[in-house]
Amino acid sequence: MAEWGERDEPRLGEPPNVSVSRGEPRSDYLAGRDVFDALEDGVVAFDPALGRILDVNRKASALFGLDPAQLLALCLWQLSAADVADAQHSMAAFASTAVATGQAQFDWRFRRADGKPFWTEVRLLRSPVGKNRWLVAVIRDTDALKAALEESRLADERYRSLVKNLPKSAIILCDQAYRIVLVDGPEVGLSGITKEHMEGRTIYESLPPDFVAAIEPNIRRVLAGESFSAEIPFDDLWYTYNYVPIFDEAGSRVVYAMILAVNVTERRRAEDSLRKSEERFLRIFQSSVDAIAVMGAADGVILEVNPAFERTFGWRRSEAIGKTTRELDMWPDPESRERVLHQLVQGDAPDYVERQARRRDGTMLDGMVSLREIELDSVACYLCTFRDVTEHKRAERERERLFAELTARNAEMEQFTFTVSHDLKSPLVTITGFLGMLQRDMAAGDTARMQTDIARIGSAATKMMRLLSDLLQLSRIGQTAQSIERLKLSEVVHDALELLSAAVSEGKVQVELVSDFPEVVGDRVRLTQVVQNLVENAIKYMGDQSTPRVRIGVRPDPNYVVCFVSDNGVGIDPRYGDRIFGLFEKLNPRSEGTGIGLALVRRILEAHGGSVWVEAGVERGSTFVFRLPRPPSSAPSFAHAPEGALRRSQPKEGS
Amino acid sequence: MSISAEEVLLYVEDDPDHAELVLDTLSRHKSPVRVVHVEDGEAALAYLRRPDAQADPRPRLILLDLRLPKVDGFEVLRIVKSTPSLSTIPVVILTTSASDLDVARAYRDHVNSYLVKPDDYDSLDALLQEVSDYWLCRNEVSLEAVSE
Repeated sequence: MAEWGERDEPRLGEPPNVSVSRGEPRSDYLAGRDVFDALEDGVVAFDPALGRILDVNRKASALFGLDPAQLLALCLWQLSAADVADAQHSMAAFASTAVATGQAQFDWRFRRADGKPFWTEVRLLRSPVGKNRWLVAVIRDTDALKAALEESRLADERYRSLVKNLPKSAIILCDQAYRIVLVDGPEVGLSGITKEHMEGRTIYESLPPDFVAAIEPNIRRVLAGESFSAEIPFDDLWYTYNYVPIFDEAGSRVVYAMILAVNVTERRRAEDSLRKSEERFLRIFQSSVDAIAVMGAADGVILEVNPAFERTFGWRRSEAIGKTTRELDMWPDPESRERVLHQLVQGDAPDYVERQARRRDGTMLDGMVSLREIELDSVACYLCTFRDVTEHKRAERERERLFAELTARNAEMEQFTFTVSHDLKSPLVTITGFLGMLQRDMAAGDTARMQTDIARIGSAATKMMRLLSDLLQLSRIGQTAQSIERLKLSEVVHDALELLSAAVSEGKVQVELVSDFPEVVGDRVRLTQVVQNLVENAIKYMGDQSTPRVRIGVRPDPNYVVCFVSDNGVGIDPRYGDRIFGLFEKLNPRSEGTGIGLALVRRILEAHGGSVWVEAGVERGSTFVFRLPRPPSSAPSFAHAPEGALRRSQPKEGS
Repeated sequence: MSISAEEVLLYVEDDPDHAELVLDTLSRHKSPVRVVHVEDGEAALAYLRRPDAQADPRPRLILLDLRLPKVDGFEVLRIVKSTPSLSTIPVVILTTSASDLDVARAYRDHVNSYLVKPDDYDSLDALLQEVSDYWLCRNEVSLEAVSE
């Protein structure tokens, strides 16, 4: 190419060396149709009076899609896309302005030959050619530009809308120099650093140093072409950073590092709180005193149990998981599980039901069972709680028993008091009555009668004393601590007979022991008293039996030790069989004794958990029968003592 | 109308000392009456049902203790008052019990009189005198009263 500064170019300071005349364009240059046609803008010369097109260049022709010949037949305003009348008017206005001032500039929408409208930027100039007032319109197709601008604007809008609507996100675009090219997104504001502050600056210049330290190595990796994610905190917020390299068009070189940062603080907090809540649940589960088991609802297979379950039922966790409660034989009967489920899994189900369950070692437990339907990992499950109340129930039963006993005792006491006061009055009446008689007899000087009077008074007083001491004895049964031990009944019988040896020999009574005597559990002294009273009774009521005989023996019985004392004496009318055990009931009013003996016998036996009754003898006489609970086969312990007053006593040392 | 010597008072009492007191007192009363003493309710009923009217006539009065062996006083009262042939015999209960319940029960079962054994001799004496005066000499007393 020609170098500047050769031949024709004037040197600085020197006048131009031109041979052409001043003010005239160079002719070789001037033959300018080429130039005219080479212009990038369309040029249309027209007559402002009518708008008639006088000349067009190639570009104009191309713009309008018409041959120059076609164009020359039209008026400029006719090429307008707008309404014809408006177009003509408006264009005329612009034309006038151009004529008057020398130029006008405006945007105009033309229509191509194919009907397609397009926007242009129009400059009207007064034509320099000739002396006529032509106007030249320089028409620049702004359509593409406008479209491009519009596209760009739309794109921009789309981009902005996208970025604005990114949930809790920010986009950072960073170049190889670690310079922030672009940053946008709703999270940017939250960071406290403005977009304007960051864009155009390096990360070192615009971001906090500890944050830069965290992301710089990541950016390096991205710029090297890696794509990955990381969770990094910013102040007290948490973000997930997605690092994406942006390659050039060839795909070989990383031009930008794109970082999409998503605020995951809430998610992390939710996860934290879920984890804490799970930990809390786990702690409760593990430390609960009640046994808890989680089972699949469909198959009843145990999925999880807590330590209390292991303790309560004796199954280790590893042994229970994977089995059903039926396989572990936990239910007392096969239908129990269905019943419990049916009761608890309903709309208005009670909070719990009382049910029994079996331990591994076979013992039955009383429990309060509750059931909740829960979902674990989308599987329907039952959360089942079992509270062992066996001890409570035992205490409750004991309490009820004691209460019943207390109530019965109170009633008995009332009856007792009533009977006693009534019956103590009797000897008093005797005493006072005979004191009166004594006075009368003294007045009459009848010493014989006086003596009998005094005797009567004395015996009545003695009777009262005996009555009172017997009553005391009776009331003491079951109250004071007694010594309970395992006894040989044979020893008890022998002791009783020894005490009665005088009466036996006096009455010439033959006593026979007709069987072996088993062991019983009870109070030695009291049981001896029972046998003694019964035998004494038998002896007393022999009547005029020439061969008085008393038989003592044992009857077979599966549940009790049953012992009898039978005599061949006068016998008792069976109608009065029960009355004779009443307080102060005497079979023979003239007999010795207070009528308390049999009442005592009954009381003692009841305290031992037994009973007594009378049967008519085979031929004559009567048979008194009493029974005691069978002692347990093992050594006696307090827990196995028979029900009744004995429960309150302490076992003797050595037993 | 005077009472013949064969009028019977059926006395039911199990306590021998009490019986002694009562029998002694009755024997010194002016109106002679034969006292038949039995010691339990069963014997009392047995006497009352005896067919031999001559040897053991129907008693003019039954003096009854409450607590008796075999058949108790209340039972005797009930049977006497519910048996048509016996129901007109007056029954006087003489007992140590002052219990309201016993009194109420006795009157419910149509006892004619309920007396509590006094605890001194003179009172007992006076009480029995009045009993025999009233129940055994009844007709004479009422006639006298009317004529006043």
